Amino acid sequence: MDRFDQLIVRYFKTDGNRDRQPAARALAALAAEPLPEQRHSWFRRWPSALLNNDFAPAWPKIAALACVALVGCSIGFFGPGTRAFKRTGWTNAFAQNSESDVSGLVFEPEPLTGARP
Amino acid sequence: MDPTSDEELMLRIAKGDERAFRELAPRYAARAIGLARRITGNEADAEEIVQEAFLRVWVNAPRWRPAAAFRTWFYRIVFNLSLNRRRRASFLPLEEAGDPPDPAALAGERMERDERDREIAAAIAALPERQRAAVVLTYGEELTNAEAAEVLGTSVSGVESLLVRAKRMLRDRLGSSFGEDE
Repeated sequence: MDRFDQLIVRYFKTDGNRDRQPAARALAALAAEPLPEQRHSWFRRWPSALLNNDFAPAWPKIAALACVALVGCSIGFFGPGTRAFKRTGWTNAFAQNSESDVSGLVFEPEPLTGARP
Repeated sequence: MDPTSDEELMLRIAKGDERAFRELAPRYAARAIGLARRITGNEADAEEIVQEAFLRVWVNAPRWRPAAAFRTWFYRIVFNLSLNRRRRASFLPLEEAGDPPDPAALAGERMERDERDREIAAAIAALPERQRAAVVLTYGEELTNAEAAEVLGTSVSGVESLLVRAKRMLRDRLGSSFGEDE
């Protein structure tokens, strides 16, 4: 650091003393007013935003609706007739059972006489 | 001595701790006033800017990430607000207006030093704003070049270049009055 640099540094050090009073005034002005609301990220804010805006959901009903929606989606995505369901092998099991169905035994013709029930 | 670091206080402020805010603000108020005053050239504007900067710190504290040093983040807010204010209105820099005479300070040496300080202040005030900001941050606020680069939104080499050009201008302006020995 040469002499020129030292001069500038010294100037800033002496000049800084004059900022104490304005700083005290700025802090006093800050203390005089209530602080504004903090800005949170949307993820943290949305439940309180809903409550603040007075359209808070009735949580038990919302929970029931969510459960029904979940069941509906599960059946839709994985229920009978879907590929996922076929992969489980349950489709074949149903098919086999339907052939040896009780109704099949009852309504088939008599093997010797051909008589129908 | 207060062992609580700025970053710890900021984490508390992010949770809405007003006492932590009141503890942190006085640490930087005077320095922020100095930074804003030297960039805008106006003490009243500097006060308003610092109040606004502290309010922004409070409001945006939940979004502050501990990875960034509070000091550089805060100085960046003050610097940007000062630039905005300076671009909005033109004014007469206080340094050029001069101080009222102080009867207690009539001793020759003191007067000479005051005069020299006034010349330095005028020379710094006459610098282009980014060069002036680089000088104020590195010499006045004693930030490293890397920290100053973060505040100014440039690279370290960018800050070095700003400082070289600023010092050249200051030497040109002050050279005649300071003499070659200084």
